[in-house]
Amino acid sequence: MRSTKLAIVIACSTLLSSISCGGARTVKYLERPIPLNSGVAVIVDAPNKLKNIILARFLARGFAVKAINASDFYSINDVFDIRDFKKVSYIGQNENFLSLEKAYNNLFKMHFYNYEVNKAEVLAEMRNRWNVQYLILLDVKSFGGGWGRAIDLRTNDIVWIENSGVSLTADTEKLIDRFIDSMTGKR
Amino acid sequence: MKSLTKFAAIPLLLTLLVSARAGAVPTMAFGYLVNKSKDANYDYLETIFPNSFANSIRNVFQVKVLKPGQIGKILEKYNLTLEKEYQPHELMELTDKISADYYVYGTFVLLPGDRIKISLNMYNNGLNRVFSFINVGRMETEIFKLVDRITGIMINFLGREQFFMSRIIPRGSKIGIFTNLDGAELNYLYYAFMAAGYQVASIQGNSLNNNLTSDMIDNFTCISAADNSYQIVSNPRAVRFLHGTWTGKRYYEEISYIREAYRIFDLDYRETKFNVLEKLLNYHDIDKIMIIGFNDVRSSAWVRCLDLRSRDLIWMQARITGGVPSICATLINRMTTEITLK
Repeated sequence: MRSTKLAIVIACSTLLSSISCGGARTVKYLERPIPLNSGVAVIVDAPNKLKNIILARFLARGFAVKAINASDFYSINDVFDIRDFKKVSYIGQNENFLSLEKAYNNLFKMHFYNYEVNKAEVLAEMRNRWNVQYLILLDVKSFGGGWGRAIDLRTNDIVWIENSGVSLTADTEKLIDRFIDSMTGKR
Repeated sequence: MKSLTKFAAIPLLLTLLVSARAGAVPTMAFGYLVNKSKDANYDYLETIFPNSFANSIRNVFQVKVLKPGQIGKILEKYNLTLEKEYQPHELMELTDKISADYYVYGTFVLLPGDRIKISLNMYNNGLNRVFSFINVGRMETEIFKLVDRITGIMINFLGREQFFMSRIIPRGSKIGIFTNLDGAELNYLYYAFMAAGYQVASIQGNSLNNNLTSDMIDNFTCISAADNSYQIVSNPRAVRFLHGTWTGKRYYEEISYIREAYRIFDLDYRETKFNVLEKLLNYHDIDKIMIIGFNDVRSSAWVRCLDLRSRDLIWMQARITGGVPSICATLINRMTTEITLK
């Protein structure tokens, strides 16, 4: 009876895992290894306790971890509230609508381009003022596997990506070590 | 310029050539190709070209064509004549009068070395959008090849995938990607391009989350560039920013703000956009910007690609189907496979 329940649980988690990974296969690509003594900013969306464990692993492995938090990166919705423009575009006469709609769409696109420019400026400042050489983004999940990505801030190139099939287990350190081994070229 | 594969698919595409006037064979009207060479000896080409395009396209698939002479006769009913040039916002009314789904018009200019540059616009009445492209060929010896090549471009764009490509994107190029994928799916997209030999800039990839939804990214399907473009046609004359002493200070400030926004984001949009992209180029040193929009269930995608060095739109394609991995494979295959020149 117990083994049947276990089999159902395993089947369900496999199904959930495959659904959540649809189109996002387990992949790994390392353009160039990240040296262990590099200055890194690790951005991870996780509770503080878990975040500390993750950062501790990076420190333990020899990285110079800079104090950057995910919340230091604002979201586009915080900065650009362009919905107001749509509201005022309706103030005009009816025949204005089509032409202003095009201007509104273009304005919307420009905000996305501008947002990317602003982020690039922030990253350049991180590199120049705080000597952050690599930006590391991690997403660790309880099921469905996590993913990681590293950016070389000298060139703004993506240098490492991994979609890991390994989910967040009781042994968080092991999972983070897997990611570190992967980005440093040890795995 | 045309891809043999694309031409092989033409019979399939014909059925998908959607007519705005439901149930009817689409009507393509061909206006003048205005001679901008300041050499009247070549004026005869102003009608030769559109007539040749019309014959050529009619030979390839079922479409009703209207040549400049025929359009002129229709317009006589309205006491009008076919003008050599129209402003884009005048095309809706013109195509309504002549009952055309598409209106093709443009200019040509002679270049040194016995070459000719043709700038062509294809206006779609149903969508109120205009696709513009430029093609250069040799006069005399290759004039018919040039006509076939331009016809091929039009046919490809009228097809199911709305395909247009002026040149391939060689491996080793540095690309920046705007997309609505997120997290692990975005990683897969990056992986596919990096594994294929491209350098990928960290645009969007430097955030944990991507706020672009499939609805939002659809705004990027229209794209204006230096040579080739695909744009919504707006009518600056229809826009009114009325104000007077009766409006009050607050209303005046508001309307002034909208007027300025209209100038920046419609009339001068191309310049506004490239100024921002120039800044992005300084940080990321990108060769090409690819905008890849996926539908909600990731079973279909479209792409636009801008060459940031030449400020040129070099690739458009829609309705690429499959899952994320197969769509990535299709994109990479297309951008690396040499276009067969006729």
